[in-house]
Formats: sequence, structure tokens, C-alpha cells
Amino acid sequence: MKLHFSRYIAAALLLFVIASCNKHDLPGLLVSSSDGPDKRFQQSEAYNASHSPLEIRAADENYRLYLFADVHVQNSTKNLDDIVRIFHSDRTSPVCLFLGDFISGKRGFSQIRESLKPVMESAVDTILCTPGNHDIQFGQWNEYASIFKTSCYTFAVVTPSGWKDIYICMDSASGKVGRRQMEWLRRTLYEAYGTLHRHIILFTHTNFFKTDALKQGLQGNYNMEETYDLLGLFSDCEVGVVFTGHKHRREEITYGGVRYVTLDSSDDEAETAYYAIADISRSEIKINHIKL
Amino acid sequence: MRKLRLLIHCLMKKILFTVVLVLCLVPRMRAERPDIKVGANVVGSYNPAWGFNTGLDLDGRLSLQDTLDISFSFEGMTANVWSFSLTARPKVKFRPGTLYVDATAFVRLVARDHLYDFIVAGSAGWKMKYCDFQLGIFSRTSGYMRSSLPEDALREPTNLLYRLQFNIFGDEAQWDILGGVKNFTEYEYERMRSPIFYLGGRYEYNERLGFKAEIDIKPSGMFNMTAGFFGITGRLGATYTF
Repeated sequence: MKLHFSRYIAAALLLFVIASCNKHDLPGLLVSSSDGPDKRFQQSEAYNASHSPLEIRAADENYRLYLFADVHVQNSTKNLDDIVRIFHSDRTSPVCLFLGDFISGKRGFSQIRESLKPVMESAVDTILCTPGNHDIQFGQWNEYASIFKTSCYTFAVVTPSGWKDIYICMDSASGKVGRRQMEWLRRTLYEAYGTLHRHIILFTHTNFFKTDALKQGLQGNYNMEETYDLLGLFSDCEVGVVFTGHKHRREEITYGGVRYVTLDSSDDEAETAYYAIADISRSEIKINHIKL
Repeated sequence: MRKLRLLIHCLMKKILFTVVLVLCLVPRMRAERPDIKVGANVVGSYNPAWGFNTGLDLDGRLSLQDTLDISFSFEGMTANVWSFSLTARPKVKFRPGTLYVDATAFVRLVARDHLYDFIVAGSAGWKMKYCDFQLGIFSRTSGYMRSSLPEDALREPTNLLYRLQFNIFGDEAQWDILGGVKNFTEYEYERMRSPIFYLGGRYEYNERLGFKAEIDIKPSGMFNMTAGFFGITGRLGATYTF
């Protein structure tokens, strides 16, 4: 009888820990609390259908792209505010990409809205995002979607002489692309490959390679079947660069003619927080990682 | 840490060497009557990347007394994916169970994407009547079939390999139900954070003929705390012992 009683207590304690953890969505180990990738794709497609793809005019043939990832805002927004301020004051950069994980835990996006206000309300600057796994934990996808509207989309940066750099945002917040998004991605990439362009640039949250698997903590990645298909597709369509985050550690790998660049985290609590700038010209994409 | 990495690197080369060495030694081993077991499965599978696809598995195992197993496996899928593996398993029997060491060379040709994976794996396991636990490491080298450029091959030097299986009636019973979790099979090696849950059964019709069935279920994003269903694979087949 005593044994049964102690079992009930252990089970109750376990449930309490699972339910009360504000940082990690532990039930998400078994089932996601947000919509899956197919449903998120459908919602994004519905938004994309009523909004034509963004075309951003660059002031010069060569322009600068700002990138950052894994801010994981908890209490302070210092690094996020710094990046927004630096980007906002740089007139050579028309666009900034955020590669997912704005938040950590149940914090919600209220602090993020405040921090992004200067660029969201600007007529000149554009900040575009892809969701990370933390952004959709605790059922927060709906809140993410209410701010950023879509999680898979394309846009183009057009230079004064008419050259186009085509950007594709892929939603990998679930560590899975899903059937519908994979079909869209295949169609979109081949279409981009077939049009006159300068660079095809893809950005997403989850990284692809596990070159130091035992050092990477417990981050999940794509299953192998999706990994093979995505790597093959990027190579076939001659994608120039694939930008990712998630790993919190910088890595650059060229594989199948495609550059895979993973960014450091920009987390306030990280020992070494970085953001990146990519100087894009006709012949190359030069990436610099800058300490915050 | 650097020393550990070097050690693992050397270990991987040695595993390959061991597989070749064991194969060379086989004819010299004086087994009285080696057991040869062959099997075939039909396979049905679904995942969002490859859709529905079917295939065929062929496998064989040569057991020399109770000291060494050598296994070969082949799988061809209609998704245009082909797998081959060769495993040498020296083993020692103790009263409560069997200790074994696996050295495996594995090739997967993902012809649909013009990619290949070459894997060498080393692991140790402990098998008891109702439980089998295996732990080890594997090294993955991936590349493009159409390219011989060194930058088109990528190495993931250390990945964890694991399998924990429970049986209801045990190996010696006429039929059995088994289940567990693993991140590899004879036909694929998943990432360490992408577990495969499985449930299967086995029935020995007589001394020579047996039947088996297994279902593997793969979740996605478990360690992203955004878990969902990824794919399912079913295998149904027969084995014959000579």
C-alpha cells in the first residue's frame, strides 16, 4: 500500500514539474502544442495568396544584409535593441533577416513587438523572420502569426540595374518541413532557378549538419529522409547560401556547391553573442560575424 | 577533448579494418556446423519527403558456434533508395546474458537525390532473455554521387547509436512480441536525437521456417519540444535456417 502511495506521489510530482516548467515545453517531447508544419503552411499560403511577394529596392548594386538568430528574450532585450538600432541607422542595408527563436518559454511576444517597433513602422527598413522551435512552443504560433503573418514566403531584392536576388523563407520550427511545404519549396526553387537572377538565398531556423554531434546538447534536426531531399534540391537549384540558426554556434560548410552558414546566437545571456552582416555583390556574398 | 576526438577517429578506422579482418578469418575458423539463416521482407513505408513507397529486404546471417555472427543486409525501395550493410558480431555467453560487440560497415545510396551515406559503426551490447541493450558510436560520411570533389563529401565524425529492446517471451520461445527504441536499423542510421520506436513479432513455424513482422514509427522534432508524426515503416517477412 505504501509502495502504491509513493508511486502516486512520484507521478504527481512529475506532472507538476511538466506542467510548471515555464522555460521548456516538456509535453512537446510527445506532442507539439502548436499547429504542425502542414497547417502552418496552409495558413501562410492563405496570407501569401492575398499579398503579392515583396520586392525591395536596393539603393546600390551592392547592398548589405543584416542577420541574427536565437535571441531567446527572457528578461532583457539589450542585444535585440542593439541590432535593431544598428540596422536602423545603416542606410546601405534595406533588409534584416531574423532566423528564429525570438523568445524562450512562455514569455510571449509583447517585448519583441516593442523592440521591433522602430523597424516595423519604418518605410525604409524591412525586417523579415522565420519561426524557431521556441517561438511555437507553449502554443505560441498564433501569437507569432499575428505579428509576422506568414512563415514560408519569398521576396526579392532588386538592384538599380534590375538584377534580382531571390530570398526564400522555409519554416523548420518543428524540425520537419512537411509534405505541403516540401512541394511548395520544390516548385518555388525550380521557378527561381529558371528565372533571371543573381543569387538564390534560403533562410530557415533549423540547421542541417551535425559535424560535432556530441557537443551540441539536445537540439533536434530534420529526419534523414528530409535532409537528403533538401540537400539534393538546394544543390540542383544552385542555391547560393542557406542561412540557419538553432545551433548557437557558428559554422560554415560548403556542400554540393551550396554554402550553409549557421549563425551564433544573439542571446543576452550567451557568453559570446554575435550578429552577422552579409555584403552582397554580383560576384560574391561576403559574411562577417560581429560581436555584440 | 581533443584526445578523445582523435581516439574516436582512430576507432572508426579500426572498425572497418576489423570487419575486413574477421571476414578473412572466417574460412580458417573450424566451426563444426555453422548456422546459416536467410530472410526476406516486403516493406511498405510512408514519410512526407518520399511519400508512400514499397520495397524488398534480403538478409543473411552466418553463425559460427556461439562465438561469431556475420550478417549481411540489403534493401531496395521504390523511392530509389538502396541500402547495404555488413556486420561482424563477436559474442561471449555468460550465465545471465550474452555480451556482444558489433562492427558494421553500411552504405545507403539515395539515388533520388544523387547522394550517398557511408557509415562505420562500433557498438557493444548486452542481451538477456527479455531485454537487449546496445550502445555505440557511428561516423557518417555523406557525399554527392555526381562529384568526386573533396568539398562535396562531408563527415559527421561522432554520432551516438543506441537500441533498447524488450521481449515478452524471449528468444527461445516459439513466438515472441518485441518493442523498443533505437536510432538505427540494418537499413538506415538516423540522427541520435531522432529516435525510432518499434513494435514487432516473431513466430517459428518449425525448426527451419519462421515469420516476422515489425512496425517502425518515427517522430519528428522531439528534442525541439515540437514533436509530431514523421513516418512509418512496416516489414513482413520470413526466415529460413539451413
